[in-house]
Amino acid sequence: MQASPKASSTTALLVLVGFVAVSAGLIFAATRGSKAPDIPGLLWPDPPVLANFSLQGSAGKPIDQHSLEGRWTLLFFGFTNCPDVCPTTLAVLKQTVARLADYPPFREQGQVLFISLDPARDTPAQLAQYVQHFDTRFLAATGDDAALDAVTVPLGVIRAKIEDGSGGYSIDHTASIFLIDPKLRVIGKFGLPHSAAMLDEGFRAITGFRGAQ
Amino acid sequence: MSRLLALLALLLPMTPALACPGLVIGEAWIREPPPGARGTAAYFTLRNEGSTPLVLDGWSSPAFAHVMLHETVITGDRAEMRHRGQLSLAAGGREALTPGGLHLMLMQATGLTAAGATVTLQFTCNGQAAQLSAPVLQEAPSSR
Repeated sequence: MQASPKASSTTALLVLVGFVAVSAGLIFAATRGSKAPDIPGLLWPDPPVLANFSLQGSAGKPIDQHSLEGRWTLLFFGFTNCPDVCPTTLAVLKQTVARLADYPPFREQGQVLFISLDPARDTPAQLAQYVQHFDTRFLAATGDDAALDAVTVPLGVIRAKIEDGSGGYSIDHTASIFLIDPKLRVIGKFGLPHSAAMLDEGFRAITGFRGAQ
Repeated sequence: MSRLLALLALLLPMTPALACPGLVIGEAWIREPPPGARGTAAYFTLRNEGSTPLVLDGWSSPAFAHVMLHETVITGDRAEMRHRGQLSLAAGGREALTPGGLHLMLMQATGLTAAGATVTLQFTCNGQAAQLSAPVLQEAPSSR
């Protein structure tokens, strides 16, 4: 059967519309960097960039944005008086590091940083002992309110002191693990509950994706 | 040593709680407090195999000055620690205290709490004094 001139022009119009739509999509993707793949935890496109900050480090020298440049950093916030979620998460990070020991991006550029949200009770020396109980390579840092705000606010990290009624206090806090890329982009965020398998898989997928950029 | 204790904790997972008929406690362990930490947590499972409800309350330990039943509540990506009162177990009921959830908060160590130690946890069961023992381990038994 022969197509009528009307049907032919409709088909041509549809092809044209489709071509324009695909082209627009490609141009959009190109201007946005790339299409976000389906990787759990990946913050892409437009990952937030870590602002300048300066904290007291557990190794006796400041930890600031330069300490993270050129590295892949797994970053977790907490406090040493935290009896459950903080040591549980650091134990998971210890297992994660062991799993990633054979993976060059982590072996050569990886680090773990624990930032205490409780500078009134956590000194840098105390923090060093605390994190090194889990892994001697783990870094820790803290600072006064303004110094902590400089790193927590851009990440949307919440910290709220909760009085316990007996003169002490706890701190409700964001317990996600953030992945900072070598250019200080907050490229990944892993929510609770954490597992070494999930972090291992997420780290490999996200660094692989970034390596392909 | 801690590995051996973890293995024993798994091999002998269920022990009756002293002076609390029907209550079976399993998989009890305490995370070794890291240096510099003032507290840690105890984890275990509870099962009421009796025919009457059980109410557990009044937690304490000779190894810690401050013991409370707490729950880590996750709201979005925020972890909040909330005090829980007494713990009720219906006949046949179960409860699990696990990392990142319900746990016994242990603060201000007054006794030996290094990995390898065994800590006694005391509580009341329907108003009667009861206790359990938990080994102090470096890591969760399930992570080994």
